[in-house]
Amino acid sequence: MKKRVFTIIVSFIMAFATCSVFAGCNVGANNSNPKPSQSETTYVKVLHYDAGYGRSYLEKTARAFEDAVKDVEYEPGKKGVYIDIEHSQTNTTGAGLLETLPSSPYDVFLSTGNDVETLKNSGYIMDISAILNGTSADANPVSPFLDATSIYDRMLADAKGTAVASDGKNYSLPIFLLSYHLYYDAQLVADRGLYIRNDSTDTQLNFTKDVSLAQLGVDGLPNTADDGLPETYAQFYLWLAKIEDSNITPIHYSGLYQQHMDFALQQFWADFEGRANVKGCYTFDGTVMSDLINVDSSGNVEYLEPTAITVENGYMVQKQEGRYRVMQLAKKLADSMGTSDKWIHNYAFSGSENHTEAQGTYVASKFSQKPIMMFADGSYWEAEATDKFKSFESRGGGKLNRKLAVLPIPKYSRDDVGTTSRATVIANCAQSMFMHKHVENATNKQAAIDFVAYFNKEDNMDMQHLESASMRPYNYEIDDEVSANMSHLLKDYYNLFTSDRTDVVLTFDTNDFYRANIDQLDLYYWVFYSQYRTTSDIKSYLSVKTFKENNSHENLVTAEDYFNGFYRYFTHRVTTGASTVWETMLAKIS
Amino acid sequence: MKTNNDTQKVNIFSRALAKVKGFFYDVKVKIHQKFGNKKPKTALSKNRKVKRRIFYYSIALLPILHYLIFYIGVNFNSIMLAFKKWEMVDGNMETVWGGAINFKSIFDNFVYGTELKDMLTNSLIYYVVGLIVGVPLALFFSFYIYKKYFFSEFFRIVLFLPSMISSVVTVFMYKYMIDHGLVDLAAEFGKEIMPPLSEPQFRRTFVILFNIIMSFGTNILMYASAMTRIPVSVVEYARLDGVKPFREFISITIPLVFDTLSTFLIVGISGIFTNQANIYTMFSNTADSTIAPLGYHLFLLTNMGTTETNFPYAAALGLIFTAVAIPLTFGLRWLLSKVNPDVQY
Repeated sequence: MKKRVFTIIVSFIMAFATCSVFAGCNVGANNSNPKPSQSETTYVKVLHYDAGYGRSYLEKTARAFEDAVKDVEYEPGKKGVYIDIEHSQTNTTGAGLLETLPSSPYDVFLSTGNDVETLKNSGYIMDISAILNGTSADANPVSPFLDATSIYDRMLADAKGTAVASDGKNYSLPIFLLSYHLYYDAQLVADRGLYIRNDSTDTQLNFTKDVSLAQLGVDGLPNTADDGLPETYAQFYLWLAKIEDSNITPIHYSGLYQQHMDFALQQFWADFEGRANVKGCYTFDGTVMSDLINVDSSGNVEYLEPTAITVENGYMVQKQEGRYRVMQLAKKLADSMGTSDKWIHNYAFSGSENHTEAQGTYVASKFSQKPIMMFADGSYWEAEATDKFKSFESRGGGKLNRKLAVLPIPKYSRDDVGTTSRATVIANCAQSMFMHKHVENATNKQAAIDFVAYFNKEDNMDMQHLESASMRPYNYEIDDEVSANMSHLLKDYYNLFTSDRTDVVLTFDTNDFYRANIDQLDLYYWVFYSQYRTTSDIKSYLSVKTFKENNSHENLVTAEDYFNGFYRYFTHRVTTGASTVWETMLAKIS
Repeated sequence: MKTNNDTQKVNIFSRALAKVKGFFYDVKVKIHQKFGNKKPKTALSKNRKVKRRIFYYSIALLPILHYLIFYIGVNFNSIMLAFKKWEMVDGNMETVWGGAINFKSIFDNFVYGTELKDMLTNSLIYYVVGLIVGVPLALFFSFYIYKKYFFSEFFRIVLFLPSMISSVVTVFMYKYMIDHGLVDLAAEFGKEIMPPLSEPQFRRTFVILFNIIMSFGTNILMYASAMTRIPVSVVEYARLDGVKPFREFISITIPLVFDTLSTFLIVGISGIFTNQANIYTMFSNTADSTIAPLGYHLFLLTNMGTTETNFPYAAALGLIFTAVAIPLTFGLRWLLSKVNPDVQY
């Protein structure tokens, strides 16, 4: 009897345990609102790649759209629209998504991993040129939600390339920008009097608490965000030393994802090179580069003849002077770790410090005995650290209380500082929006088109920016209501990207060579990837880490070694007759 | 103490129960007599045989189909992938026949490069240390638990605990203990040290230590279970003969669990090429060839990047590992069969 009772109880427990497997299934629970009847309301099905941007930017826009069209009859007998969103990470990106297109029930996609050319070639994506290029002033606007300026015209210049396929038509449009930076605590600078005074030079810095007495910064203009900040690399090193002397840790980043620091250093490279040279690294369209150098082990620099960069000799971009100068900077950062005046937090090299831990360390440091000045991470980091900020709200350390900003990149040479200087920032478009071809003949076609147009209205972009903490690659204004809820960092980021003095370069292209080698031409392998030893094929994309770990006499890696390793990686032949990495890349389009 | 009344009540109850049971039994017999198969059993007709076979095959069909598609098919596809390469065809990236290009590339990288060699060295180090340190320690702890020495149950739980908890959690705890715990402990003594896992000279040591700790769980479970099968009479006989515990461990216990031990050793061979040593969990994709084993490299080839262009290379590498592991496995099996005392009990 006891045994039978025990058996029954165990059976129930096992059945319960088996059923608990389905606890993760959340069918139809993505939308908080109950779904209306499909016989009474027009449905537009949306597939959303649920990445780090969250869902609220899409959900809020969708609900607002539904409210705007609640009385519109898109289909006979049906009133209003319901945006049926599926948030998922399965088969929502790249090749996985493409495979589902033939039988996909979704009308609109917000996804990543497929460029406009790939989408066009799939044959399942609708031409949305009319939506992107239409305006409210058209004789027959394709949607009542179009603005006076077309979506395409409002795109940032470089972002337009993501929307145009080789046939000149538009098949997708970009949603967010993704970039990596060094962020700094502007309040800490002010509180500790770390503004560089206007009588400072590249060899001697004087400091002040009064920003009106500070130097003008890289842009040479008063009352701008870079006042009092380093204007040159030389000043940057002295500033870091001063910060450390003030019992502040200069820099921190994730030890588990140390590439964030290298990605942030890529902004220094981009700013040094300028728009044309950076873009030429991806277009291979014959851009002539005149700052290609050879560097010997003693650091003697020899300038090469100006070279037109094509796919045949694209590896030559690895000799850009900007890469060398940034490696010198990285080496200095790493060398400080061998002294008592470390410029980087210890845990930035610890694998136990993942990205959220690092964000927490940075956010919490404001209230510690040794705060941290700068943090390297992606542009989404503030949204990711929302919970960290929230825990300090009561102490005045919440997101809206903090005065964080993007560090303006100093110039390598004093000659480049001043009112004619321009900032160059690199970014990429993350997430794109496109429509399935079946919408062309669907009864809900107009509803889907209206939703896409509404989503990309200028008025909605500031809300989407706020909710996702990521900038949309368009020109748009931020209204007062949204601005009141925006952190200083978000506003600063927006100002940087929309400034007339900033060239935003998207690190991509749609030429065949780029598309065939996209995994080799990305942030990891195209900018600071080095085969830094002549006697070994060991490689690294973590310059600061490599310098730090190879700083003894026996295994020293210098900035020159690392720089020369960029070129070596793409041109080294392991043995006679073997292909170089570049030749292998070229072969994909031969 | 039972009274007459109680006894009477029990008798009435049991007689009533017996009557009810008897009634239902009679009903059952009558039903069987009326409807039961009265024909004598004969050999199955051909028709019935066919139906029976259809029934058996239909039950087996789904698992066989599953095996053919998800094992044979997938592995066949992987083997074919090793001979392909990615190329742009009509504007789209597609796999085309590449012949032995991937194998040649691997050969060149191995012979003329250093990274693959370094990773192979790391793989062998992790395996050998696990073999020389991990296995004896596991046997020792198993013996301790088997003999029920002081706190043996505590050791059984504590040593098996890492195997029950998710490896991501245990890695996280370990990293925190080492990189924060040791650092804070040193600070208590007025010394500032860098997080040990961030220092290249300590990194591999701590990785090996972690892997040894993690290997205890399953090993101890299996060895201890094997040891409990040893006949008690043998152990008692040894004890009566004055055999000390260490001698018993060496001369009796290990020979009697040798089958279990050799199974683990043989299976461990394939792990040389696939064992990541928890490197990815510890260091994400930032570990270089100074500590990364081949298993980690193989994982990164399929994990990193936004396209699948590394898959053919990874498939070829996997085939090469298989080609090396097969003779090694059979060789070790032959060797172990030679030294196996082959004791039956």
